[in-house]
Amino acid sequence: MGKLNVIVWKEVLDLVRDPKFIAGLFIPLIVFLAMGSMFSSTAASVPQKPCIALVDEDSSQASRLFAEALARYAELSCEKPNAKVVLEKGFGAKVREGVFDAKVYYIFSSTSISESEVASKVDDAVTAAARDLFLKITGLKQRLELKKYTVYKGRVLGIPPEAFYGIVFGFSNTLIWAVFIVAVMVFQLVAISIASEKEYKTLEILLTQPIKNTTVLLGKLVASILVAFLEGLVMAVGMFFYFQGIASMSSPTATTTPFNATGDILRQLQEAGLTPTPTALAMYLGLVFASLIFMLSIGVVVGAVSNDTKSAGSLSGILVPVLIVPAFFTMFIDIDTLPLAQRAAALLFPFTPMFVAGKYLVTNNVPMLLYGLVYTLAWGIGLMALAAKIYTSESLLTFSAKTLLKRFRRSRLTH
Amino acid sequence: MESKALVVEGLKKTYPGGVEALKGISFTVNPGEIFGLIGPNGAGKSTTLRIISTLLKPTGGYARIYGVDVVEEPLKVKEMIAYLPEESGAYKNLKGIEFLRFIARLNAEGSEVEEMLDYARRLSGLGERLNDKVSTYSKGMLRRLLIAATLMRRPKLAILDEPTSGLDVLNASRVRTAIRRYAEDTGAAVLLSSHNMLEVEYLCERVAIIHQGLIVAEGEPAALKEEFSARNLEEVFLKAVGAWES
Repeated sequence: MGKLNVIVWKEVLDLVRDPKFIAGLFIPLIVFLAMGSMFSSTAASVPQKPCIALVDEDSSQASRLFAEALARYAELSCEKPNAKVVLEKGFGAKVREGVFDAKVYYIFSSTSISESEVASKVDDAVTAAARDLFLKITGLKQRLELKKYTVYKGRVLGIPPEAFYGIVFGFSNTLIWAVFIVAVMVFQLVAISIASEKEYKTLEILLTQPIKNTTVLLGKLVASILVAFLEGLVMAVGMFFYFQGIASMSSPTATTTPFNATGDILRQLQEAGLTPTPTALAMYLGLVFASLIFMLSIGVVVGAVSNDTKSAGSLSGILVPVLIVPAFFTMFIDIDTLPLAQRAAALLFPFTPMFVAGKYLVTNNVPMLLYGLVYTLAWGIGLMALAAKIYTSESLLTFSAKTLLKRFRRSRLTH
Repeated sequence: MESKALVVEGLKKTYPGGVEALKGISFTVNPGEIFGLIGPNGAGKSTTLRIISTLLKPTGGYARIYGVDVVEEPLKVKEMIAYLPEESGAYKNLKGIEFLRFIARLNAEGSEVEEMLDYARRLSGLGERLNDKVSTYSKGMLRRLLIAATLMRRPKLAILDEPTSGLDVLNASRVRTAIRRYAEDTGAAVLLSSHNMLEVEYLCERVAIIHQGLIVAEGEPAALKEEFSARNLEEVFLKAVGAWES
C-alpha cells in the first residue's frame, strides 16, 4: 500500500503540473457556465403566460366560456401576440357535440429556440382552456380538433409549428453540427499531421528535400481537406440512413428539409422565402470553404507549437470547447434578436459566422452570409499567412509551447 | 565555379532565448573529402549542420556550398545537399520501399527514380525487408534505410549528424562502409559529426574539434595527434577541450 501511495503521488504530481491539464480543467468550467447562462437567459425570455389574441366569430356561450378559461392561462390583450386563436361560426354547436374546433396561428418572430418553447406554451394554454370548457359543459365526449398554422414574417403557412421548426431550424441545426464536425476534423488532422513529423523525427528530412517549405505545407493542407471530406462523406451516408430510419417512424414533414420539400409544403416555403436561392447557397458554400481555410490555419499553428501528437491532441482538446460555445449559441439563440452590442460581439467572435450560416442559408439572408464569408476569409487568410510564416521559418523547429513557457519562467526569474 | 564543396566563415548563431550556440566558426570542405566535426554535447555541432542544411539561419557569418549561400538560395542548396539528422525517423505506416520512393520522387523524375531506388536497395542491404512497414524495423535497420535515403540522392555534399549513433557494431560497420564507398564512388564531399573517435579516425581525412561554439583544433588526424602529442584522436579531443587528465 505504501508503494502504491508513492506511485499515485508521482502520477498526480506529473499530471497536474502539466499546463495543458490546468487549461483543460478550467475551459470546460467556463464553457459550461457560458452554456448554462445561455439556457437560463433563453428560459427567462419565455413568458410565463403566452400572449394569445382571441378572435371570437361565434359569440356563443361556449366561446365566451372558452375566453374566460383561456384568460387564466394566457394574456389576452398585448401588443405582440405569440399566437392567434380563431373560433369560427358554429364553434358553440360543435362544442355541444363534444368537438373543440378552432384555428391556431403560431406567430414566429425569430429563429430562437425560445419561439418553439412559446409555441408549446400556447398549445398548453389552449388545451387547458378547452379542458376547462368541457368540464363546465359536463357529460359530453371530448375531442380536440385544432387546425394549426404557422405565421412567419407575416405570411401564413399551412404547416403546424412543430413541422415548421423541424423543416427550417432542424435542418439548419443539422448544418451547424455538420460544419462543427468537419471543422474539428480538419483542424485536428492538420495539427496532428504536423506534430507527427516532429514526433517521428521526419520533419528535418522533409524540410531539406529540394522543394519549397510552402509546397510541403500546401500538400499537408490539401491532404487534410481530402481526408476530412472523405470522413464527412462517410458521416453523410450514416446520417442519410439515420434520417431514413426516423422517416420510417414519423410523419413525412418531420424529415422534410428546404431541399427535399415537394408540393404544397415547397410552395409555402418558397412563398415565405425559406428555400435557399442559388446566391445564398453559393455564399454558404463559400463561407464553408473559408471556414475550412480558417480551421486549417489554426491546425498548422497548433501543430507547429506542439512537440508531438499527444501535445497536439491536448491543445486541440482545449480548442474544441471554444468551438462548441458559438455552435450551441447559434442553435438555441437567434443572434438577430439580441441587443446591438451583444449581436456585434457575437458576430465578431471569429467562430460564430461559420455556425450561424446554416440559419442564414435557410432564411436566405444573403447580406449576412456575405459578411460571414468576407469576415471568415479575412481571418483565414491572416492566420494562414501567420501559419505559413511559422512553417517556413526555423520557428517550426525551435519554437514550441513548452519553450515559450520556459522563456516566460526564465524572464520572471530574471526580474 | 567555386572549387570548395563547403566554405564556412565566421558562422554565429544565437537562439531567441539568448543561448549563444556558435561564436564565429570557420572551416572548409573539399570535393571528395570526408570531413569530421567532433565535439562534446552542446558544443554547436548540430547547430552548424542545421545551418548548412538551410534549417536554421545564422545570426552572423556565412556558409556557402559550391559558392551558393545557404540563406540567400536555400532551394538551390537543397538540390546539392542531403541531410541526415542525428535523431531521425521514417513514416511508420509506409513500407521501407515506399519511403525510399517518396524521397526519390521528390528528387527525380521518370527512370531516374528507379535508378535511385536500385542504388538505395544496394546501399541499405535490407533486401526483402524493404517490403515491410517501417514500424517493424529495428533501430539498425531504420538507420540503414535512412542512410540509403540520404545517399541515393547522390548529393554533392552529404551532411550526416551522428550517422552511427546508437547502432551495434555490425550495423555501425555497415553504415561506415556505405559512407566511405559513397565518397569513393561519387567523388562527393561528406560532412559528418560524431562522438565516436575511432569512427572519425577511420572515415575522415580532416577533422575540426568544436567546443563551446568555437573551433579549437583543425587538421588531419595524424597531424593533430602529433600537434597534441596524443596516441589517438580521443586524446587529441580531450586535450583540445581541456578535459585531459594524464
